[in-house]
Amino acid sequence: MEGVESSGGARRRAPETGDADNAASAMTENPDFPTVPDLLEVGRLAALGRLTPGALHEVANPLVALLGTAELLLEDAERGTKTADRLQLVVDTAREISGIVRALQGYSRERLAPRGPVALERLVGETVELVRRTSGVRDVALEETRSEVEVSVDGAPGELKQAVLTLILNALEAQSGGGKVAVTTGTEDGGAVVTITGGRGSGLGLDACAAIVQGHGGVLDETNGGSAFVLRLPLRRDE
Amino acid sequence: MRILVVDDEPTVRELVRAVLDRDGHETVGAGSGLEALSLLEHGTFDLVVTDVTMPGLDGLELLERIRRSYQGLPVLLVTGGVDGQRALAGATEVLYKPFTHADLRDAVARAGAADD
Repeated sequence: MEGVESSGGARRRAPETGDADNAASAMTENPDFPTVPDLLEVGRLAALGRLTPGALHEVANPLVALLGTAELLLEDAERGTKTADRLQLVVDTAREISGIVRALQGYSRERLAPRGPVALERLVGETVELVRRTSGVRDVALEETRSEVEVSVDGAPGELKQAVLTLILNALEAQSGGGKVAVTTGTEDGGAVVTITGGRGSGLGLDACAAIVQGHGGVLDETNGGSAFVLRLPLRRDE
Repeated sequence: MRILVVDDEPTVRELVRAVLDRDGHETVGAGSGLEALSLLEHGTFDLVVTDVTMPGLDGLELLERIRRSYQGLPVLLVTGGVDGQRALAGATEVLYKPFTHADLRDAVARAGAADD
């Protein structure tokens, strides 16, 4: 990916790891390093993240009972009656909740998926769908433009999804109160490109995002002061 | 098919049985991995549907015992956890909770048709 020009912006790199004294000094002098409240927020979110898989597991069993029983009752109910209509509402609602739980479980499981060929346009589509189901944001339009041809890269699907998710969530945060976030996947100059337009929000998780992209041999460009992020990855070579 | 349904949660176990019984299968329930092994010793089954997370002998250990002692018996693992594919690799099929009746029926049909 060397030689790819950043389009009027800055290339974001993961922080270098150095000795503790230098790191501490850099943190106090460099405004880009996280503040103590930032770190507390990261810690709080990390704790929530650790609780989530267990909570999803605990929610799954009652949901199986709720949805399964409602489906059995609906099968027995006489069609066209008020009882059947009400049961259909219970089934539809339980299926909707199940969809949210399964989407979150899927994201959590993906972190364990092995490195290999990844259809990037599909991964980005799944990430957009995950956000639509779970973010609760209703006043921001989330628009996705997907490449019509497969954009294949080599990578760890869980990590790549984390990177794309981070950029989308930050853009949604930046646009809160009305606005638009656009996600585009395609190819450019012989590489795979995902562009997320909308803003940087709090910037939470950007360093991890940059590290993931670098770890995949790519670069993360930030254009026009963070109004868009461009994730560039090498295309998968045919074997 | 004659199906052994293993889950320590009675509500889920009985629900799975009710759906499969309606489809004409004959089901037997077990509340633990050990009870399932005992039933396997004394009966013949075409398929085992087992939850993964159970106290004592869990679904993955039960799967391992079945693979050792009952070659060719298909096993459908049911999980609400976030285990990776590698942990579940020995199963004939995997069904993720929460599931609909259609999800369950499809998974049972695929597992029953598989040649283990």
